[in-house]
Amino acid sequence: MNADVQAKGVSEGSGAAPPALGWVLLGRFTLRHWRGQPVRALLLLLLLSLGVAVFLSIRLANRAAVASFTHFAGVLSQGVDATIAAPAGAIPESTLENLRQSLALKGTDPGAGIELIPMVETVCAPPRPGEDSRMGARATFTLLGVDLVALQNFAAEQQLDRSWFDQAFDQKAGSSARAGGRDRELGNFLYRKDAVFCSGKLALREGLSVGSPLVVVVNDRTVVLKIAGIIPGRSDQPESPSGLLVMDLPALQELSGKVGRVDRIECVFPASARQGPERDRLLGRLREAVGDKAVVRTPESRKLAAEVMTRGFRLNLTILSLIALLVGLYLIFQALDAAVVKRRGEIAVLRALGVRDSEIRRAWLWEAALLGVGGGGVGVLGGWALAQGTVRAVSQTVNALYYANNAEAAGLHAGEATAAFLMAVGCSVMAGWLPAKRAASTPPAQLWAQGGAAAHGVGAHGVGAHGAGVFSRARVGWGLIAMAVGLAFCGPLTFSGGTRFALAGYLSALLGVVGAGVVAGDALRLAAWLAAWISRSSASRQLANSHLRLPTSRHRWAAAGLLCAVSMTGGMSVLVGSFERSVSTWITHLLQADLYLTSDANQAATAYNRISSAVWRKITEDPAVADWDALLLTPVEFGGGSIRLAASNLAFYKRREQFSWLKAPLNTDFFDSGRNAELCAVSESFAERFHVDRGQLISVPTPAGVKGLRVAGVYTDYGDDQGIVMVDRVHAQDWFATQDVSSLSLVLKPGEDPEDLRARFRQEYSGLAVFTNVHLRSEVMRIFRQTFAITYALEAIGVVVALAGLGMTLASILAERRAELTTLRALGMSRNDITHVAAWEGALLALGGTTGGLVTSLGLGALLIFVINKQTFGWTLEPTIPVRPLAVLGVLVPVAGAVVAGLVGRFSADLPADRTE
Amino acid sequence: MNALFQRVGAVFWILAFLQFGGRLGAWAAAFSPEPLALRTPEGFWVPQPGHRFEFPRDHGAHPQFKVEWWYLTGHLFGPARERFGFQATFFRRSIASHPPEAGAGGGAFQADEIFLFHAALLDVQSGRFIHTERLARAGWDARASEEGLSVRVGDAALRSVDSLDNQFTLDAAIRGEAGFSLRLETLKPLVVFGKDGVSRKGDSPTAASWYLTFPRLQAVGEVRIKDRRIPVEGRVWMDHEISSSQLTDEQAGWDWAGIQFEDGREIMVYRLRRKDGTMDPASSLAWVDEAGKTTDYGASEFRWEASAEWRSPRTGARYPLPVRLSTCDPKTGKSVDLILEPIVVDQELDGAVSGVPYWEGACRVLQEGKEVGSAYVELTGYAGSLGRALK
Repeated sequence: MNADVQAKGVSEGSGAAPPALGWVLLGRFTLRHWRGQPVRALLLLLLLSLGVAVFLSIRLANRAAVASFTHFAGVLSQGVDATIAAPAGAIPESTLENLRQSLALKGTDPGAGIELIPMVETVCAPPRPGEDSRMGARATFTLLGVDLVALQNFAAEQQLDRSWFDQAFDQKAGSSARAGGRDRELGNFLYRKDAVFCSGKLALREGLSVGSPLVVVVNDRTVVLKIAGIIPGRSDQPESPSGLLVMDLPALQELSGKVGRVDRIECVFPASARQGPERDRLLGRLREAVGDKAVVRTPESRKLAAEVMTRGFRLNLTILSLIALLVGLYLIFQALDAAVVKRRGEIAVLRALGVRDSEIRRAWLWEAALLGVGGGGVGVLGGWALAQGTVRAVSQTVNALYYANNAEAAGLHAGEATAAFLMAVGCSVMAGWLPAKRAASTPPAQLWAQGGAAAHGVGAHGVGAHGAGVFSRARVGWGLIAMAVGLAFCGPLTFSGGTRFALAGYLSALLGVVGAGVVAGDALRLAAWLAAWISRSSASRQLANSHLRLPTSRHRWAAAGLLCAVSMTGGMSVLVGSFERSVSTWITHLLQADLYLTSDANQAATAYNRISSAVWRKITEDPAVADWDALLLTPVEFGGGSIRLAASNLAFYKRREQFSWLKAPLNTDFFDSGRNAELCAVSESFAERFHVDRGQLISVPTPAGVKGLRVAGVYTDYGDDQGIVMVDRVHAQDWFATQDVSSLSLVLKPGEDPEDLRARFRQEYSGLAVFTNVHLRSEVMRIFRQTFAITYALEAIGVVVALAGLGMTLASILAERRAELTTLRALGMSRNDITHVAAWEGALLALGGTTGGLVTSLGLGALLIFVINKQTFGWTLEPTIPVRPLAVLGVLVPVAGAVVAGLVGRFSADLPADRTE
Repeated sequence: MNALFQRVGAVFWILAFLQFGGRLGAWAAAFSPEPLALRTPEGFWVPQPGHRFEFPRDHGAHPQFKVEWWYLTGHLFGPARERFGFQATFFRRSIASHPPEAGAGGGAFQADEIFLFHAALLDVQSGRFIHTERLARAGWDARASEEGLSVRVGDAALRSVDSLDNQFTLDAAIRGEAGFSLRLETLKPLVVFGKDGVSRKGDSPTAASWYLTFPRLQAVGEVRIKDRRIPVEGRVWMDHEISSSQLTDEQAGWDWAGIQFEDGREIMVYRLRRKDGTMDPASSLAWVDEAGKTTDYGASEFRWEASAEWRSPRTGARYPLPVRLSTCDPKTGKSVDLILEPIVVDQELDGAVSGVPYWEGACRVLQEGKEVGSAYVELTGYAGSLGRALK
């Protein structure tokens, strides 16, 4: 060490950037060790990067799913300033003219100049391929109907690509026989009911060109559309999504059964009034003009609504994605803590040479930060790559539970990437904080004594070499567990629209897991004591047991990391098992009919395709049908959020005892259509979300005005977490002025074979999906499991990281014991014996972590079921302990731990005493 | 030039063409409630001589005819010497004589008629020219009554007051940046141009229109430019033309002017330009005296010349401006030379929706260096061939 450098380093020690001494320390004190143990350094970095990658991939996939939804809505109307929608049902066409006139009574009115762009939207799907009738298996298309004539004004104002219509097709068809010349050209465009525009992406994927047929299912019909053109792209705007199809509005009105109605009106303000007070003034004018018949949403609020709807789901997934990162942090802490122990001799030398405490601490923090930078950088790239796979799983789940979206790829969002990177660096520095503090605070003499002992290969796990003391203090652990229990009784955070987030519940889970991890260190001693009693006759096992009787902090950290992963995995298994059982019981009640029919285009939760009255009446009049019910499902606004109004024949529900009541109606009025016009039942999610109970009055918007409904009962419904209000269909059909329905349930006459009838209906109605009771139940459970597929994957990654951490721990410990290993080999222990010792030590370590994890998982499972699930989704679940998955976890992890440890032992057995790795 | 936008736009240029197709003729003899015998090949009615107009009904829409427009131009003055020129044009166009069965779903989005609205406002003080075009299918956003004058396209509307046929209101917004709201009252009786009430524009029997004009209306109202509102008064010219005809292949474009003299008389003049550079014989000039009586001159009896040229920086079109118009004054029997000088030279509409730019602007009318009136001049077919656009 150069004295000048030292002096300079001391004088500039308070700076944030590493001064000259800092660079020396970084190069010779930190990187030298990394260079000496490149595999371990690389593995640590990779494990951290895996944690970051998983976290980022979930964030990107979530973002892609939400963006896919909002992108659909906005792709044709970039720069929309407001959207007008009915709180229930569609907007009557008459509203448009009234709105136009009330906005601008005179040409000089400020409301003049607002572009009003009515839109119709529906979800359609390609026909099922062959016999495949899985729900949600096909990518859907969003059919957007816009007035293509008026759109040209907008295109001119926005200077959009106007080459849409320069793609004339089929000049002979679609026009009046009397029309000729230019009329025929216009007729092609105005009179074609089947003309549809698609994105370039879809055209490329499906090999479509102008004039190509495109077969889709809309409502209960299979229709053949014709590609009229490809939606042109523009370099400064997002590419049209592949699932977007655009039609002329009146054509789609007819196709989707919405003649005389539009779904929403997009509003574009004049360029001079798109910001500031002018914008607010025009928004006020719009709200005044529509009154209470419609709601005016800004693009921000619309995007927020999509985000709010899935917020609970996305937050839960994000938190699950943090498991791997959390486990990774255990590893960083452990690795740095081990390094402190290992390098204490060097630290003593540095301190004896006059290097300040702050310099030493800073050197450790720089090391942690470097790990974070490396892990974060690789993690960001890995996260982006991983997101391409994750996005499909997330998209499928969002499709099944919330809304149609066709997210296929996730872009690398700069904000998310930066956040993930900073999180990696921040967490790494945080994990390195305690080891850095310990390295800087221990007196040189003590360090020298311990370092000398370590350098000579003795006492590596002796007094003073145990690492950070936090994990040696069981009291800290119990304290954390006590805090976790306290937090479990706190309520959720509530957002606008009634969405809730169980923040206290998640904090409780975190503290509980960390606390249990701290306590687990002591459990290792117990495990070693028990193991010593079991394996008295084996010298190698006794040797391994001796290492755990006085576990180092690395042992404790490895056990805590495993406990963390196992407890979270086990806890989720408890939740999923309970959920599965509850859903299974629920569908046993709910699904009692023999056949179920719905539009084959209803492949997403928000696909509201209908069966026309002519079709469903014909089906119900089939001689094989003994009893039937028809369900009308429609989204409505309630309490600032979106819920669903379900309308059924309640007498049928009573006959079949289909309701799973949490609070049953107090009399039979609810089931009698003559007396239930002002009654409803609400789902548990609704009751929880809006704090509504039996007997209360709620106001539900309908096209026929706001209806005051008294809550007659609260029932279980695991198919929806936004909330459902159930009324009698007789009244809803009046309110919504429709006889069409969303689905049909058929009870067949005795002796009728559901499969035969299903085959016949499928043949007769190609646009309908027909399920037998057995098939529908299996589909419900398949979708249920599919929604948890990504959860399982995240948990598995957490366990893999923990096992890798276990291997690293043992590799580190065995490398430090190389002198001891050399002695043992000299005394006659074979390579297999050494492997056996390591495997036994690893198995015990894994067993300790797993046992602690399984015990913790029961508490965590209870927390998830009774607190987090209840607060987020509002579902009451029947608690179940899924013995098989927990047993598999309990066996698999220790075995895997033993295998990993054995491999490390086998490698370490041949390490010469003078080699560092 | 083949995009549908342009096709749709071109259709309205056909309409615009029809504006220049006639001379004052005798009033129609009688109105026949029966469908007219002469039809276009598509089945649209063709204006026939001898039609007896009935008002206010005939101020309204005539959907049996293929094309129709209400065309208003004027000069407005504010209390602090502000001066504005404006144009507001409502075009209606039937797509088919009888909407096919495959027509659109419902009254709000009809497939049988399309409307186009053009508006422009010239703020003379600032020299700013603001304009817009708007296309709409018949229905909720565009409608024309068949009972009387009530036509609306988007925010823009032209309506008769209390069903009277001499008082109207005109409202128009231009992209939210500007707008005007005017109450109009006729100062002179309605003029019907053309022989026997029919304005012919070619040899073909179907090449005819009914061309109705209020050559002078008093305007009172308000102009808005951004947040600034200016009370205004002024003079307005209003055309209403009904036809089912189309532009001929030989014609390259047209020039039109409506001149309002300080002495209470007017001139309506148009020059149809052939592709070979000559003036079409159907070109015409008509004087309207103080009482509304017209004196017509044929193509050989007036001259329309350019005294200079202005090149549009946007489209590159070279417009013959100012215009020198030479004719005979029927009141004195002497020849007169008039200079139609643009108040602001850049009054070109860029054809954002129609795809066909043209020049339509407010002008001063000078005779021997003295300002004797004001005019609106329209110059088309200078930004590329209209014929190509129409194909």
